Amino acid sequence: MNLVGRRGKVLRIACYFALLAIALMCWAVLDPRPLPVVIAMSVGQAIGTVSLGVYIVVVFVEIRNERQERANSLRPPPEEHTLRKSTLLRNHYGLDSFILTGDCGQITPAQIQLLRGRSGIQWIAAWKHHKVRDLLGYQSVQLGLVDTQYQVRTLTIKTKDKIGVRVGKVLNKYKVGKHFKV
Amino acid sequence: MPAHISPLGSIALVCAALASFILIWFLIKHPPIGSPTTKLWLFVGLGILPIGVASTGNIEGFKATKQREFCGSCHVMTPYSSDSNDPKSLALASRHARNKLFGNENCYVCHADYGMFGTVLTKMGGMRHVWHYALTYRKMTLEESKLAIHLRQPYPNENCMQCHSTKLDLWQKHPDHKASLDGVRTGKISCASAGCHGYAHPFTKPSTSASAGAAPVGSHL
Repeated sequence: MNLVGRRGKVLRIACYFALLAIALMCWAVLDPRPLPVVIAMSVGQAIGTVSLGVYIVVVFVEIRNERQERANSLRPPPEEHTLRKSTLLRNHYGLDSFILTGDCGQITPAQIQLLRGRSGIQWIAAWKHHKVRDLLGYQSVQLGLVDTQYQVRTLTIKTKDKIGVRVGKVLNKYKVGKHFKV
Repeated sequence: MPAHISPLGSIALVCAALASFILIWFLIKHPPIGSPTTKLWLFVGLGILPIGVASTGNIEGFKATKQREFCGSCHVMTPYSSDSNDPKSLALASRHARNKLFGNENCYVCHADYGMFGTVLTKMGGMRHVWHYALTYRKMTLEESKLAIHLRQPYPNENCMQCHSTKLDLWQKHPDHKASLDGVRTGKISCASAGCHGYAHPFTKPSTSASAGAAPVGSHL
């Protein structure tokens, strides 16, 4: 049974229960003795409330799924999206060469495969270190994009000891020593 | 079955009929649930109209619980309601039932707790009565029940003082009232006792006859 069918079945069950609740409440109106009144005000209303709650949940799920499907149908595949952006940068802004930056969800291996054959396009992706090591193994990471001297040149401290102390503080605080060779 | 259905009861039944029509239509026709129209109709059929039935039904239910017939519908309460219905009875409850201000709701008016949450507390007490009836008194004979059933707490004078404020000159001029004013107000002396206005339901007391303990005819309430 597909999801729509399952939701329809749940709604039908809710309708049966709602009919039962309505019948109990009508019984109390037509025959106001202790038993019908007590049952209508407790069991009847509880069943009716649950039925309404089921309806609200089903409709909420339905609307959420519809929105998700609509969004998926409008969104191009990620590879196509990146290429479209690249074309836009070239044609609209007149850039011959540029670097795309993004996290691992924005610049995926499939996109890199597409971008690799195009001249003037480079990229920096914020992958996790194990992924970066894999890519290093495949020679897919362009180390030339990273100016390894830049950080040191901008420091006001010059001596090895002081640089070591400062680096040690950062490594201890952020626990990123595994990614660097000091 | 009530002799006639009140306007609120009619509204409840109309809402119930419309809701049932919508729900049965959905169950028979199986319209697509993704359609906004179906969702809207179901919202009306499962939400708005049943809420209308419940709210009007609640009001009707609460009104019904105030009626003497409702109290007397448990068999152990029939002597009490019959006594209230008896135009010749001199019992305190019966004399109050003949008062238009009490009328058909005399059980509720006298036994409802006074105060801000009196109605709620009374309804909760009513649920306890249903519980006890279902578990204990359902199979009890009337003779047994007359002696077995009693109030959980002494009847509070505050309930009498909702109408008889004890502050009017006419009331205070009565020598017995004058002598027992503090006791009445503090609840130490019960208005519905043998020495005063008599028991509200004297037939429940083994040592008294149906009219014993009642105040003499002509005494003021």
